[in-house]
Amino acid sequence: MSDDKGAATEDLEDLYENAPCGYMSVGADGRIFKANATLSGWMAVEPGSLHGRKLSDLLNIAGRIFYETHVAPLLRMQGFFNEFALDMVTETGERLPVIANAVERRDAEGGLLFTRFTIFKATDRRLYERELLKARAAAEQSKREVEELHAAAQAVLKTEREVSELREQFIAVLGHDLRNPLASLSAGARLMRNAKSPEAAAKLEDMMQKSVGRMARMIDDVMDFTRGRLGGGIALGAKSVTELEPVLTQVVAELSSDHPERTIETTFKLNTAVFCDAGRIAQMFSNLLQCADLRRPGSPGQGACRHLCQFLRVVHRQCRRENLRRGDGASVSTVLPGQHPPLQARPRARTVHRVRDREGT
Amino acid sequence: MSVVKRNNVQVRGTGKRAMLFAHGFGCDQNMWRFVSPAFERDFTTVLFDHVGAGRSDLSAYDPEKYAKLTGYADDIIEIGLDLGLREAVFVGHSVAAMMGVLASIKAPSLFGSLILVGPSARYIDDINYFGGFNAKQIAELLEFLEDNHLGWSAAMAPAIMGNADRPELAEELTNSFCRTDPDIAKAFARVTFMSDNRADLPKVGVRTLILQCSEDIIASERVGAFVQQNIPGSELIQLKATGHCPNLSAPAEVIAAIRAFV
Repeated sequence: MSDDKGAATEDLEDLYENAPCGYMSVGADGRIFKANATLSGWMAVEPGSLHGRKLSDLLNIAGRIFYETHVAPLLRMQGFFNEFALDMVTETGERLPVIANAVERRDAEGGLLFTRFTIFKATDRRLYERELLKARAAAEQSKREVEELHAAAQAVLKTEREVSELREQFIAVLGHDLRNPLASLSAGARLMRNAKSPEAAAKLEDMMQKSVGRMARMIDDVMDFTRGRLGGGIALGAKSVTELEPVLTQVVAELSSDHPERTIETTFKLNTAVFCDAGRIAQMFSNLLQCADLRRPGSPGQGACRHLCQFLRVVHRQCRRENLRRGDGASVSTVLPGQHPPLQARPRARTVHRVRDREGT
Repeated sequence: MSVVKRNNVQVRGTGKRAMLFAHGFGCDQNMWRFVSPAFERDFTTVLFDHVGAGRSDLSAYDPEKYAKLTGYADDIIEIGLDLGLREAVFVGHSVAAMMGVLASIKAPSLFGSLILVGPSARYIDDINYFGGFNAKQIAELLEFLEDNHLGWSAAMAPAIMGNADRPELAEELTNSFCRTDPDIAKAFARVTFMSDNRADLPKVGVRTLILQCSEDIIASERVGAFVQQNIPGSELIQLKATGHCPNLSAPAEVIAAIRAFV
C-alpha cells in the first residue's frame, strides 16, 4: 500500500527538480538554460534564476580557467567528461567544491546542441583528497629523507675506507721506520758485548739511547694518531710557564746529532717564558723541521717549511705579547737548511704528517 | 633525441606551403583536429605537442628551459629548421600565439605569416593595461596548482598513471587529449599566466591575423585589441564563437577566416 503511495507521488518532474544532485543544461554559448531546484538551492538563488547566467560566472577563477582550457575542449573532443572537480561560488560568495559529470548533446553532424551537467557536492571528498595529498607529500618527504640518509651513510663509508687505507699506509711506514733504530739498537747491543773499555761502552750507550729516543718519538706519533682517530684530536698536556729557548735548542741539538751531515743554524732571542705545553711545542717543531726540505722546490717539504715559518711566527708573536707586557723585545729565527744538505729525504714520513693534518686539530 | 620524437611532430597534407599549428595551455595537438584537416589539400600541415603535453617525450622536460616562453619558442624554431620550413603559416592558439611571435622575431624567415587565435600579451592587469586578471587571482590560481588542491590534476592524472606501462592504450584512454603530468601542468600554467610579451609585439615583421573570440574570459576583446594595435599592420577578425577554444567550438568559422587570410 505504501509502495503504491510512493510510486504515485514520484514523478519525473519532481525527480528532476529535487534530485539529490544538481542538474544543469548549458547551451553552446556557455549560458545555462535549465537548472534544477537542488542546484539553485546550493547556489543560494531562487529556483529558476540560474537561467541565462553564464556558467563561468558560477565558478572561481581557477575553475573558470580549468573549464576553458580543459573541460570545454575535452567535451568537444570526446563528447563527455566524468568526475572532474570544480569550485563553484554561491550567490553569497561561499566556495562550493563539487564533482561533476558532463555529456554533450550533439546534432546529426556532431555539432554541439547543449551540454548536460550532473553535479555532486564534494566538500568532504575534497577534504579527504587533501588529506591524501598531504599523506603523499609526507611519504615523499620520508622517501627523500631516507635517500639523504642513505647518501650520507655512503659518504661516511667512503671516508672510512679512505681513512682505513691511510691508516694501513701509516702502519706500514711506521713498521719500516722502526726497523732502522731497531737495527741500530741490535748492532749496539752486539758491539756492547765486545766493548773494550768503559769509554767505548758509554759511547755505544749514547748511540743506543739516540735510537731509543727516535723510537720513543715514533711511538708518540702513533699515540697521537690513535687519539686523533678516536675523535679527540691531539690533546694538549699540562701547560706551564716555560722558557721556550732551551726547548727549541734541545730539538735542534737532537736533530743535529741524528743527522750529523746537516748544519742547522739557529738564533733565538725570546727573553721570556710562554704559557704552553712545552712537550707538544718541541714535538711540533721537531716534526716540522724534519719535514722541511727547501732544496726540492714543489716537494711536500715546501709545505712543511711554510708550516714551520708559521709556527715560528706564532711563537714569536706569543713571546712578543708576553714581552710587551714586560717591556722586552723578542725575535726567533731559524736558518732553514736551504743552503745545506737536506736533513733527510723522508717522503713516506710526510704521508704520516698528511694523516696527522687530516686527523689532528 | 630527434625533434620529431620529442615533440610528437605529425606532418600531413600535400601542399607546397607549410602550415604549423601550435596548441596552448590545456590539451594537446588534438585541439586542431577539426581545423587542420581542412588545409591538408593546399598545405603541408605540421602538428606537434609541446614538451610535457600529449604524447611528447616527458623525459625531455627541462624545468629551467621551459620556465620561459622562449624555451617553447625555441622548440618551434627547431621543428621548423628540422622540417626545412620557410615562409610557413604559423597558427597558434592561446599562449602558443606568443610563442609564435617570439619564434618569428628570432627566426624571421621561418614564418611568412602569423595567425594568432585568442592571443594575450599579458594576462595580469598592469598600469594602463587590462589583462583580464589581477595579480591576486593569478597568484591564487598558481597557489591552487602548487598545493595540488585543485581537482584538475587529480582528474587528469589517473589516466596517465594507470597506463604508464601500456602506452599503446594511450589513444583509447578517456581524457587522454588533455592528459598532463600534474607537475608540468603547474609549471606550464605559471609560465603562461605570468608571461608578459607586450614589448615583443612591435618587433613582429610578418603579416599577422588575430582571431578574437566573443565572451572569452581568458583572452578578452580588449586584450586582443591591444595585440592588434601593437603588432604593426596586423588585422583582427572578431569571431562569433564564444569561449576560448573556437578551434573546437566553431571550426568552420576559424577555417574560413584562416583561408581568407592565406
